[in-house]
Amino acid sequence: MSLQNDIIKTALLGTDKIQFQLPEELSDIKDGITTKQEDKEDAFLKSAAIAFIYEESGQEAKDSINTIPECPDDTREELSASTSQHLEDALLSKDEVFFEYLLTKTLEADKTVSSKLVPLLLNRAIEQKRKAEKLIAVCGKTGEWLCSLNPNWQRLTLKNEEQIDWETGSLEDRKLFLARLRTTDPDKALQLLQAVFEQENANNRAEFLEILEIGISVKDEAFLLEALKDKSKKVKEVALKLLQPLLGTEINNLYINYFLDAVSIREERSLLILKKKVIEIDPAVLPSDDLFRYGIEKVSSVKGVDDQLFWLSQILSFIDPSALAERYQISQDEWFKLSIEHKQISVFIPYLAAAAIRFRNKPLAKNLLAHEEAFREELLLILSEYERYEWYDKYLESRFPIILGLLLNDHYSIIPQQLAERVVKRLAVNPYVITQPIYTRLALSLPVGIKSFLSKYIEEGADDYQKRYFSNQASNMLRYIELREGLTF
Amino acid sequence: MQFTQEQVTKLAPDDASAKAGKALASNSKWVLRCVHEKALWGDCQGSGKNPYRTIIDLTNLAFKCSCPSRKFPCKHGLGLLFLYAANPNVFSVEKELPEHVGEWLGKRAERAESKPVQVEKAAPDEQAQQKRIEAREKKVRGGIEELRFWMKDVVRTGIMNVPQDPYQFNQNIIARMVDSQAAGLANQLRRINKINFYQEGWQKALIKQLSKTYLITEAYENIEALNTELQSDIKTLIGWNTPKEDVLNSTGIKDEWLILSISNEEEGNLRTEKIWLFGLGCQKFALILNFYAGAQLSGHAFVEGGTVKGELAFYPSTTPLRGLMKEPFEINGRFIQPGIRSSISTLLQDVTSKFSLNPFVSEIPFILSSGRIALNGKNWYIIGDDGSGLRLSNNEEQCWTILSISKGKMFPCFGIYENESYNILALWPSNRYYSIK
Repeated sequence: MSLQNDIIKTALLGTDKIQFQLPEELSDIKDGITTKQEDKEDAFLKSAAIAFIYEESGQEAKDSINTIPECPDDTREELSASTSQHLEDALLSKDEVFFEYLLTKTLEADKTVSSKLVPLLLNRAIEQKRKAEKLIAVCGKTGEWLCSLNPNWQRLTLKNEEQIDWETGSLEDRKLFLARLRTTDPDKALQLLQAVFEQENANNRAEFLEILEIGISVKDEAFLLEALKDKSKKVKEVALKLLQPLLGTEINNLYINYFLDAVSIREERSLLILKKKVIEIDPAVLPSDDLFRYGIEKVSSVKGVDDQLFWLSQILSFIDPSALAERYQISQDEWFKLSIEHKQISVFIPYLAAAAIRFRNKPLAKNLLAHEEAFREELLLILSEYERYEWYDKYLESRFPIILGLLLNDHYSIIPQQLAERVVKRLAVNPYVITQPIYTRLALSLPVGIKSFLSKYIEEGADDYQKRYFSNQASNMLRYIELREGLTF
Repeated sequence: MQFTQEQVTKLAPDDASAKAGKALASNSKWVLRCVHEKALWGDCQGSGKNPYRTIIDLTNLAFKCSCPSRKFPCKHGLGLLFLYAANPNVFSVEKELPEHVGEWLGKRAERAESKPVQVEKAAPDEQAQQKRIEAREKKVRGGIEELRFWMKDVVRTGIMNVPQDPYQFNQNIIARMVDSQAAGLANQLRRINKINFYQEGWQKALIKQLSKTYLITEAYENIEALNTELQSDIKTLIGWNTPKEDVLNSTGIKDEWLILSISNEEEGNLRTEKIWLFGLGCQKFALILNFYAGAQLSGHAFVEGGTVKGELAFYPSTTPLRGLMKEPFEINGRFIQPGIRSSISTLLQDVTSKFSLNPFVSEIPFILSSGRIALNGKNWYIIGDDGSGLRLSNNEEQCWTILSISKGKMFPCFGIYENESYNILALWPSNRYYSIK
């Protein structure tokens, strides 16, 4: 080392300032250089070159290097080489749609990606935080192991309750901690929040309060009522939003009681011999001022609808339809029938839909979906995937973008052949209604049986630009269906 | 011969071709798909009236297509091979070759057999040639003299201020070396620009390169005293070329050569392709260098990790490495792992013996039969069975990829020793080939 240091010192300062001499063990070479020496620079450059070669020729391997502990074996199997290659290609060619599909299917198959791809996926997880969990999951034990070794990837490791410090963690970490605790022990989570609530800023208070929706019960009422007195408008709104539909609470009881007082079901004669139940609203029943204090708007904002009907409609969205039917001792279907027969049904429908969505009431959702004007995407989401197909058929033409969006779900469910053909036909007429990535996404949900149907559009002569465009898209979709067929998970 | 998607991707001349090729790897795009033990052919319906006719020679990988593309292989050739790699069952197996396929294969075989090594067409005018050599020699000597003055100036005043303007520091003298037809010396000087002047250790790297270049000029001045092979090495380092024809006319080594790695380096408008080979029988390394200007594309279909059977002739050297593959040769896509027993200490012994033969040798290829990578502080190492190690010169990203592939376990690998460190270019953990780029 001292030989090297001497060379470097001389090189840095210059031969004008410092002289360099080869050590005695290189005396043979030194003599050779000296005899042919032109000047001191010539001697230095030659000596340095020889010294470096001399040192490098005799170098020894470095010892006492700390080894890295081996990666623990993964219990999960690795993707096949060809599927792994498709994943790598999709990642490198930025084919986001196909990459996402492969990622989901790998997770579903409980497999891991090839270890060669792990660093690439971890880097991507750093860039795309929302997808991080999924990306890390497919990296398996190799991913966890690399995260423990690389400081840049360490922050990707999913934090569990023990690792998060509730008092000093970031807002996101604390929210995660509270949400997890709320799922396992709602009372403990409430106590924890109560203890710090006043010390938090308004934004944090509102965000933490929203987490109480997980496992919410009457036990939370006192705390939420207290939160209604908060200085922050945002906090008050969140607290009220949680209390309004919460059965058994003071506010919800206030809503139900007024509704039951004002609305009755009366039997009236129809065609002299038949009896018919009808909803009757008693205009004489007036609510207490508390009703308006707790979120019900006092003045009707709907043209032609009186204030009382407007109050009742609003209340309808906060009461579980099944609970209400029970109070009137009729079936849910019957309650819906009566509501729908009301002369001002158009006022009720949006609130009934809101109730069906809020209380995830399937019978009400189905009843509402039968009426075109009641259609809301969220109503379909209450139903199981199988139950939805009936409505997809009904609404495919009139609500095409929504239905297509629902058909292309996160599980990559395969669309039934008939429905798929209708989708393709619809797109062939107006191909620019969706973009290229959506066509790719659609291909990943189309049944294999549609290939010959698609081929017709490819073979068909392209006489205008729309047909030409669709023919290209059909060809692209066909390629993805074939690609999908060749994948093994 | 069955190919993997990865191998086919690597055959693509560029990313766009690979992408376009993949888009064509669909049954619906091919109106005809056939396979024979010797070839693969198909008709791809393009936008025109007639489909493009694509043929792939499977014996000695080569492509032919009737499309007007100037890329090689074109997207149709790649698409057909991608389709075959992904789904060979969709190809109809033929016992006979159709006329157009048979004709092309026949021509290829004929050309390969009859292709004589280019001999000089006409006897050169020896006097004129001698004059040209003398004129160049004069130019080179003039250049060398200037270079030696420049290097002496640098060390006289000291290198302390070089990092202030490391790029401009040597530009004039590089240009001067190019003018004086000493391109080899210009390349030696260009290496200085690869030094990271923001990292500790630049001082040693700079003075090492300067002194080595000086020693090359010194060796050239005393070239008559050296043996023929070393003379040839020195001349190459200065910038004198050995004619390709001379190499191809020399006797080579017939062997099955493992294609260890194919890498590309770009500088300015010039792309240098390095193909590292290892003779499975002769146990020798070889390096094929190809140079491409601008957007020029590779003209071969070598498959990384696969083999090529044929005769390889080496450029004259004390430590022969650079070579040329004589035609005909046979490309094979099957993966082979070299069976070698070696360690880091044998690598260092090899370095010493190479230096003793040729002190100017810079890149020393080596296959390590077993090693694992480790991180000490900010430096990465390859460690052998005995725990001793050598610093790695792979970049950070590559090192994490190697660690991920090997999972911290021992693995055989191929790499290049240069400047007291080892650069891993390929590895074979669990009998699978991975290249590191």
